[in-house]
Amino acid sequence: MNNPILNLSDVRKTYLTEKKERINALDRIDLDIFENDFVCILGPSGCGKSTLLRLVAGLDRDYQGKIFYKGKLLTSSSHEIGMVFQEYSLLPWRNVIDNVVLGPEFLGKGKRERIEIGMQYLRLVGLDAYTKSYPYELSGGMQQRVAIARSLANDPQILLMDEPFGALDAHTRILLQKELLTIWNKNRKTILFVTHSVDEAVYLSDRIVVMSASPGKMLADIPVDMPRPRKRSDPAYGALVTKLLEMLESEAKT
Amino acid sequence: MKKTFNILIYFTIPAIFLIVWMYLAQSIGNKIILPSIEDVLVIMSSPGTSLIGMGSLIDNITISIIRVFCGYVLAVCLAIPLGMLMGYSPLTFKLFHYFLGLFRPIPPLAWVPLVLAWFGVSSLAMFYPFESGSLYVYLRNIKLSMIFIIFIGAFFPILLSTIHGVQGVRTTLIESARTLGGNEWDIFRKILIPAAAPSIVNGMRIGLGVAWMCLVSAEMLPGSISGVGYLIIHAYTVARTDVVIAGMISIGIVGVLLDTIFKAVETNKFSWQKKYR
Repeated sequence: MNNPILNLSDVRKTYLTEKKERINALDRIDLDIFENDFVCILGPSGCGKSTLLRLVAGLDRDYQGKIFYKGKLLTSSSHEIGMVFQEYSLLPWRNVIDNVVLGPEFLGKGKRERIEIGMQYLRLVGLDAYTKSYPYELSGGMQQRVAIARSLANDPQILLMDEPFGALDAHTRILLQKELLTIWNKNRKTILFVTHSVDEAVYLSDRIVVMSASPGKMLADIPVDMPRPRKRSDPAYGALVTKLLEMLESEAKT
Repeated sequence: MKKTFNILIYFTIPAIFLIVWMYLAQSIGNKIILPSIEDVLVIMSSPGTSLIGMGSLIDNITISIIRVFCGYVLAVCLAIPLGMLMGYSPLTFKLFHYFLGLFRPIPPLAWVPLVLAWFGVSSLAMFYPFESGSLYVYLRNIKLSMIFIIFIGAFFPILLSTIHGVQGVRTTLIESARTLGGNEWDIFRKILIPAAAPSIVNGMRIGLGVAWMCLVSAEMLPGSISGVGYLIIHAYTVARTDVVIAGMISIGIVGVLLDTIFKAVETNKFSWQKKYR
């Protein structure tokens, strides 16, 4: 097998609470992510999965251990590692197309080229009819689609997604999961997707990394060998969901 | 029917006010205590004619606006960059916040004695190389002490709104820009400034209001020989209450006009803010 695109080696992070107590947010995380993989990090809230993603995004540099991106030590944010946030992160004063071209704008691309790239990705997420709309005119699901298009417009090598559908209603969520897979099929990126939904993890990923809370550490690393599109009625699907739920439940008891 | 009623509502209180004024003026019958509406209207309707040997209303308002503008521009130029730095960098915030906080409660008027000791009657003319010409005369009318008082009045509202605006920028916006490859300068220019702009402009609006209010006290300073503030004071000493009231109304009208300009900018440029959670 080829070299991992992302390698985490003995990553730890501790917080000091207001009462000066030491909390192990992340403990001994060793993880290899390979190119073009769709990996879900699954865990209960407070298990440090979002913290882990922020470290990889270069937004938090206060940790022990090493993170390598393509064999090089990761020291800061890079346009090659994109991120989609749970909260709406579009700039409210820019319309849809101007939001999507933000990355190419930072990279110093010319105006015509930017618009071309932006339109291409808006078409990909099916929002090319809304270029001049403002974020507040769009529904939550549409805003997240714009945010995904914005991250993709930078052509990142890795796309980090921090519970991107967490704030959406169940129906929109299922719709967007389907859409994300379609996009991923056309445009294979390495995706690192954080979620606390077992169903979401099983539906989407090639591989599920299960984490436990306090201290946040890796519990299991499970490959998912089911052809896509996956059917929720498939017995194998149900069996995996049950297995994961039991794993999280037994962890919660101890 | 409903429309006329709505319009009537706006005019009810002003109408009552004018009627009371008219009645009081008539029953008092003393122009020095309360002149009649007509007396004031005569002055207001011909703002170009010279009053009590001090130039016209328009001349005095113009010089006042120039003075406010000088102090205000100075306040904007200092308060916005400092506020942005203080809002963004916790170190700068700690460095300045408590120190500046000591000066904030001091009313601009309380600075007058100190300001006079520092600047006396020196004016902008001291930066002008010639001691003649119409520009020199104009500059001599703009005293440093006045600029300072107006500056103090406008500085703090603008500074505080700028800090508040920058601190209120959602971290998700900054972090998403960072993951898109934006450097610090990009983030400053394309995220912080536009995100804080509504708050900054609101502060500029409040600051201009305060600056305009500080004008009268600034124009009461020694060495002042013009401006609406001075016109009012001088009219009082020669017992021309009608001129006093006309001057006051002019100050009010100019204040409302300046505020309206800013309000228009706010509703035009920052419509996104209202609908943004």
